[in-house]
Amino acid sequence: MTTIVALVSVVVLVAGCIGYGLLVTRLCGAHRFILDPLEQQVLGFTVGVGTLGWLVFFPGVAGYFTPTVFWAICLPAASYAVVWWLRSGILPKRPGFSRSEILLLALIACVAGIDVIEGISPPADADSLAYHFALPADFLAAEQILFVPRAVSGAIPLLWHMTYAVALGTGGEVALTLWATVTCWAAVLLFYAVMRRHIPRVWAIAAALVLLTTPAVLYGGGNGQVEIRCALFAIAAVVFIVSSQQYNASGLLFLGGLCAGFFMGAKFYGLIFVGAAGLVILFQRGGVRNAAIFGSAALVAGFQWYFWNWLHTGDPIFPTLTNLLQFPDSSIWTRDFGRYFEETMTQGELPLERTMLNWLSYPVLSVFNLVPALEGGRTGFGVFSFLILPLVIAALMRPELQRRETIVPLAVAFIFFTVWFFSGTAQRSRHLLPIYPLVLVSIFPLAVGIARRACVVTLLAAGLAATLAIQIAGQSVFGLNYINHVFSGETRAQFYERNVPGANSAAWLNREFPEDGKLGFMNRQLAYLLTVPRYMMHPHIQAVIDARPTADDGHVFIAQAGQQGLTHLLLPGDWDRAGLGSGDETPFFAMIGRLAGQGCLKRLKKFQTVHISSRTLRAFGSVDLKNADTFFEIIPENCP
Amino acid sequence: MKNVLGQRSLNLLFWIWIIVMLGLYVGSFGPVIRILLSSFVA
Repeated sequence: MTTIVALVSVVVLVAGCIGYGLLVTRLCGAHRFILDPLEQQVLGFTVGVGTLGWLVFFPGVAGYFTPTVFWAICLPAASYAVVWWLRSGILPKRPGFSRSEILLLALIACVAGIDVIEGISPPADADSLAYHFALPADFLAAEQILFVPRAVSGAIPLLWHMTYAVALGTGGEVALTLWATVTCWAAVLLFYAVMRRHIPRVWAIAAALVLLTTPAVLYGGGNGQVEIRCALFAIAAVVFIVSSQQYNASGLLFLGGLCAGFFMGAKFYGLIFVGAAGLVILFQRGGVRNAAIFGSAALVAGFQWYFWNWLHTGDPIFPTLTNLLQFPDSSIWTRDFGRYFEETMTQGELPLERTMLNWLSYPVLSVFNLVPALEGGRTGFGVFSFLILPLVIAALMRPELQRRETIVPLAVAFIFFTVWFFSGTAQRSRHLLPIYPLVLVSIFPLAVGIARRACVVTLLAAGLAATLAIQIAGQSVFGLNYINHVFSGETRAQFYERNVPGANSAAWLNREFPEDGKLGFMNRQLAYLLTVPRYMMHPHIQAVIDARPTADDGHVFIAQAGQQGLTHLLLPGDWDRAGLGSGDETPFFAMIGRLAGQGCLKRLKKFQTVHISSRTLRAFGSVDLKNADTFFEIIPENCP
Repeated sequence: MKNVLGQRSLNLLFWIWIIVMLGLYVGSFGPVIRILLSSFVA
């Protein structure tokens, strides 16, 4: 029954998004220029999913964030889509497929099958558990959107998360994870549709399969990571920009601006994308006027979360301006914490100095995993773009192969990458995933064009086959964890105990935690699993309860915990040992030891857990470290 | 004759490029491959 409700929910969501997209496209007068049925549906879905996320924000902040409202928003649009389908009489054609195409489609079916298995398994990705799925669940429980005073994973643009909330609210957890799978596929389908404009079908299918099995897509496609979903907006924006030039149609440009704005509403990097695309528009025919249309649409689509952040912090891109302009200290952020935040950010997220040499060599350093902190291996882009590089260079030297359709996406991606690299933001490769399909859309048709002219098609096919073999093997290894879960009859609780450190403590607390209590915890992955009132005391990205390793003032700590109404704490470490030490000698944990010694923190229970180095490689014998969590009660009368 | 030789050289160069790139890429997964292989050997 749960699965049926989930499936119905996802089907209605997809139809609803297509319905909204078709409606907005018609309102912009752009429907006359998009004639291919596949493009109509996928571009419609893209515009529609952004519209849905945008619409849901308003009842959310007004306190009507409920499944009933979600159904009321989705059903009329889904009905519109159904009526549109019936009227337009789109029937599936029966195209003849070549042997190569049948082989590629069979591979896509296998890959999609593993995607579905992941899609019906509980979410296990750390970021998804910490906030991508935890925030929508929290908002649903509160029946309204709440401001979360946390950098990086709280006070951020949440457009995609609004759609996660709709899926979770209408169809439960299975609908949420299936929705993640479907939205990833939508990005790949749009990529295919755009490729189909430039190259024969067999090459377009192959390119789609390369994208679908790209390590970064495998990593983030089936969970809450927004990068591949932002790629959906990025591709659509560029398609609309190129088409608007082709047809000289402002409606198309407005749609492009909406899609770029949706990207902006889904991730801070969307700001860079809007700037990059705006710059490219500015340097084309009708530059200023077109850039104004594009910018206005982007602002309309993307303003919400910046306004929301500004309303609560005075900083639309919290905490960037707060740190840069040295805003006065407040209850949620201090200048001292801001300095600490920037230091930890630089140490953890910026392995490369921002020099011209590193900027130029970044692709090599990432793809060949020469700087592991870039995470370009297991969550990178694969080797395909390097395999076809000689062909692309050869094609770029032939003016007859250069077209606006291939140059515009490349220019947008290039500007995005350059600004991203030098801006001092996190340098993880997967953050570039939204623009990676733009690069492929540009260079792959060039490679195919030159390969056909230079009679090296077999070689290109061999490179493609090798890439696919490596990437599909990678997906098989990645998917094994989920295959084991689905086919072994393992319960959700067992799956979590196997995959999430501390899941056993969350399960126990959900059963035994006092009704009037509130828990402070540090393991961010428990945010989604804990259903009791709670507050995440993250050491590096929030200052409401200072839990930095250097924080050693017990009085301040207890006062801040009291302001949040905390009655209990779940802290890492084995505090049952003699000397009241967790084994962690940082000042923060020394302070916790002192508070426990004074009787301010009373130990109630210890949980044995493990530190999992890799969920994927665990089945193959990667080593986990044994760990422990301790559950404390705060006894205020014994506290400093 | 010259064209045929040119085409063969082009093919050879491209083959070498593909093999080197794939080798470097697969090599970058050394630690992961070691874990996978050791599980099969065990």
